[in-house]
Amino acid sequence: MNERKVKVTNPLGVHARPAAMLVQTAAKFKSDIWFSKDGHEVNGKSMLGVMTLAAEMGSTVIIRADGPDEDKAIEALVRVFEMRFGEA
Amino acid sequence: MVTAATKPRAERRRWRGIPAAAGIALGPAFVYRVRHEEPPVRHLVAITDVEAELGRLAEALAFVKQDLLRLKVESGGSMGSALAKIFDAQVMIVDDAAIRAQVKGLIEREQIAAENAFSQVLSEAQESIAKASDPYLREMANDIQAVKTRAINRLLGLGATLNQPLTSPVIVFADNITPSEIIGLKRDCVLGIVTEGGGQTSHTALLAKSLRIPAVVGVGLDVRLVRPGSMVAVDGYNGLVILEPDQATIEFIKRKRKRTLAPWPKKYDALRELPAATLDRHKIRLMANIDLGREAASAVDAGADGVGLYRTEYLFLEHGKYPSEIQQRAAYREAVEALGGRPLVVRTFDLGSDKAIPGRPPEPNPALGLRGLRLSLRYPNTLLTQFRALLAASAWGPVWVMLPMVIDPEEFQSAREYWLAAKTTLKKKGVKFDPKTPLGIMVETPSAVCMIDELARTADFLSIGSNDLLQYTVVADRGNRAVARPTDRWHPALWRQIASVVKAGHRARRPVAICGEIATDPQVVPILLGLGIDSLSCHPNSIPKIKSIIRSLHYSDSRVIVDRFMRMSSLEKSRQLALRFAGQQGIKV
Repeated sequence: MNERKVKVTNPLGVHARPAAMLVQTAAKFKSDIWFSKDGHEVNGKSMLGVMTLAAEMGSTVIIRADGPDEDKAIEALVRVFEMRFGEA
Repeated sequence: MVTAATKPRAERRRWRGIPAAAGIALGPAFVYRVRHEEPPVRHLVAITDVEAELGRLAEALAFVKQDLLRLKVESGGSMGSALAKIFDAQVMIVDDAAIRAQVKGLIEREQIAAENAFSQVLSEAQESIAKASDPYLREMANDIQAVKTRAINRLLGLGATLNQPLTSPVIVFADNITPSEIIGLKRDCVLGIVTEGGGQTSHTALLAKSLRIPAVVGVGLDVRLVRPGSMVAVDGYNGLVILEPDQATIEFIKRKRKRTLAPWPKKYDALRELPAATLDRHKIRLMANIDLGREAASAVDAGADGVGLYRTEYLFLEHGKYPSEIQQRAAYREAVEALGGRPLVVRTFDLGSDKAIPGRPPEPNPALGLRGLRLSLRYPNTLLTQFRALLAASAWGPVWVMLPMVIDPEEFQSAREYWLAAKTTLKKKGVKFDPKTPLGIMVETPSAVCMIDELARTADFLSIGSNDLLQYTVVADRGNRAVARPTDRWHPALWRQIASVVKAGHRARRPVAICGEIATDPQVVPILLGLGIDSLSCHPNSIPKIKSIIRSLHYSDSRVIVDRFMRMSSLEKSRQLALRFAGQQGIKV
């Protein structure tokens, strides 16, 4: 199992479209993936789960992955956060 | 030049649909939204139900997904990309395996129906999102809501319902709207109606006509792409809808609206008191179709010889349930009194099928389901109540009572027994009524036509309902544009049935009327006349025109043409012949 902390830096937070990007990325990996914020943990492959994270700008999200490709999964997901979901 | 076809859909300004109710309207768009109502909790009784519920859920989600993907494609284009992403997010909610697992777990654990479990899971998600302080994030609750509403509506077999009562005048855009919903709106606030679905003879179109609300139906425009509050023009004469018209168009529309505000051309005024008789003095009764008791006055205004079809369903829809005997009696009395001695033909509740009863589970094939007289006989108390109210109204003027969707003489006989029972009750109570009040039937099923000789002997009068008779004869749902053609009305299969009904009626010395939409078509009038129809009932607005046509014809000519018409063996030949004759007689559509 592996985990990493990321900060939400895009002004609009993890709204519907970023949530969709995260879920689509997570779905590419075999590992189980979770996101958590303030102790609230959700299934990273569930759109509804990620939406309910309600991660706003400035909040910290912990990405946790468990499985054969857990490292790759975490790297890919961190990149999505760092790209600010393609938003300016 | 960019043609309409290559422009993204939402940027198109002009849309064409089927003109359903005449008139011009200009006003802000009100986009009819779906409201989510918590479905009543339904507990499962058998273990096998769980599988069935999961199956229902899968079907509903697949349906919703298709719908969203279609919307996404249709919203594509320059302004659509942001919109398309929203649909993407909603599709992902639908596809979410975690949600499905949660819903499945709930169904198994709590033994509740799919819609209850689905609603619960999505509501919890909505609640946690609603806690976010960022308004942008809170917006996501709407995406969840949208998916929830679509799925639950699908599971319950419901369409949309109106968000809230209207407070200011608007043009209502809807994918579909039922007559009950139109009634539910405040009439004064509805300037016009535009719907995606529906045909010219759908009940929504009929009601819009009688309330004189301009309406265009069957518009190929996705109403969800209309910007709420934006200015819209509706031309109910030509079936035109213009989104955000420019100033010149607005001026044009306003002028046109002013011109058409007059109820009908002045030349029709002189017609009001004249009989509907041909040049060779063959007189028929020209009657009006109405939906509300208060419309009887406009029938008289239009110069009608009475009301040939009072559709009482709208009375039902107005109250949202079966109206009480007192409420019914008041409505019938209002109509009888407005008619001042002219006959009022009242059709008993013709519910079911496309006029669904709220709260009743949907039927897989409602057109062939529990409807019309069959439904009334299933709940005889409703029929008895209506019979008593109608009989009581007969004390104020002539009332003819008509049964819808009769299948055979046995069914008529059962209804007749309730009719006699209603009379007995009134007698016992000492309520005054006309004991000679006629009880007749609508002939609108091929089965009734087959047994018309027996029916004509027992029923006091016959009235052909051409809309349903046609749809059952050519096996084409009149609201389905893929199968129903406007020219279907010329089908020899329909006309041979009409001719045999007239013949059988006259053999038994019963008056025969026709009260379908067909009677509104000027080109059909000479044929009906030549067949010897005694009475023709159409929308009040059409009466002056139909009357002027009748008064310009010779009955003897019509008889000659009908002889040839009835020998035609194809729809196209029948149509050509009738159109040619109408043309020679100077009849314009």
